[in-house]
Amino acid sequence: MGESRSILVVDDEDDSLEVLGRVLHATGCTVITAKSGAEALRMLEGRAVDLIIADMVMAGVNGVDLLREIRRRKIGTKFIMVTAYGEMESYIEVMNLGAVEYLSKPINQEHLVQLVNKTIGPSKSLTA
Amino acid sequence: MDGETGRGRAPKETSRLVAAVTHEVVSPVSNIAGLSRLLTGDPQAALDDKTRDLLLRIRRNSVRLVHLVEEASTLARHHWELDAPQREKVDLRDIVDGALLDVVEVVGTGANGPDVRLPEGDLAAEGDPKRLRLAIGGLFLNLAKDLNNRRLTLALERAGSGWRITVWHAAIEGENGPFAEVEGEGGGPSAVVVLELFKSLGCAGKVFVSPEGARRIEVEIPQ
Repeated sequence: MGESRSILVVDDEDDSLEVLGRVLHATGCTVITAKSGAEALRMLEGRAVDLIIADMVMAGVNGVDLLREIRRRKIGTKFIMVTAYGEMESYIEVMNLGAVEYLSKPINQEHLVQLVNKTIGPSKSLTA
Repeated sequence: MDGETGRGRAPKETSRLVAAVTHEVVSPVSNIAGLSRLLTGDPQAALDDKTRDLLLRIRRNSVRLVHLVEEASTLARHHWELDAPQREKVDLRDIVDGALLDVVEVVGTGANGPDVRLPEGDLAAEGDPKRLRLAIGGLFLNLAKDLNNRRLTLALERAGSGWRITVWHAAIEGENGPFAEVEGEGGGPSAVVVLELFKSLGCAGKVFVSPEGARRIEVEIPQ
């Protein structure tokens, strides 16, 4: 039995957390959620995850700030940025900061699952 | 007209407003689409055909609304010329050097570093230097990520009245094909976004995808 993939989803909207959490949980992932970038940083002090999926626009520590702080702390966790506003400069900026991918809303759920599988590998428990 | 408030130079507040409004509208509507998608796709949800049909219509309309907001946002950005590039005569050699510095910070040098082939002579082109640097750096980064950070080669050469940048991956170098030519969507989201950035500069470009999914992007920068 392989270890479950763990994903931290960060969004300040409950409904977005619900949608992303359910979709990812259905693929065999362990999903933990944070409602802000600051909460995500506190969580990462206590545990490691395989992937972080964060909304770009959040009050306080937004997605870009979160990614920048994670990289400053030398945490190499893979990172997917979600945004409702596909702006070229921000795309390049987050890719330069080391994000794996940049997803635009509305998120295509099949595409999200494919991207997660490509990024951290398919669920061992589902493929075994 | 006042340069700070006129159409030609929108203040940063305008850009932030467009972004904030887009986010605040698109996010909840996207959630409606996502939640209805979860319901229709849940085998344990006991839905009759009529309910399922209504949910599909909710999802279809919410996705449509998101696209409308995106179009309005794009129009607003164009209206205030938030996307307008500052065109000037640039030296592509400097641009490529700058882009490579950006890339080296991410993918490193050596085996994973990009290899650049530049022609001799004048490398002048017309464009926005900042955007060109972002585009070329972004192109490298995308391909490096898509192709597992293996060695990339970029060749810059004269083509017709402009310049052509060709990027390819060490694993497919020397392989003549068969490549399936795909315009736009065939390159996948990452490649397409970068290609769109090039196109916003007035450059022509194509994404080529091999049957195995390897990507090659060709861009022509007007001289």
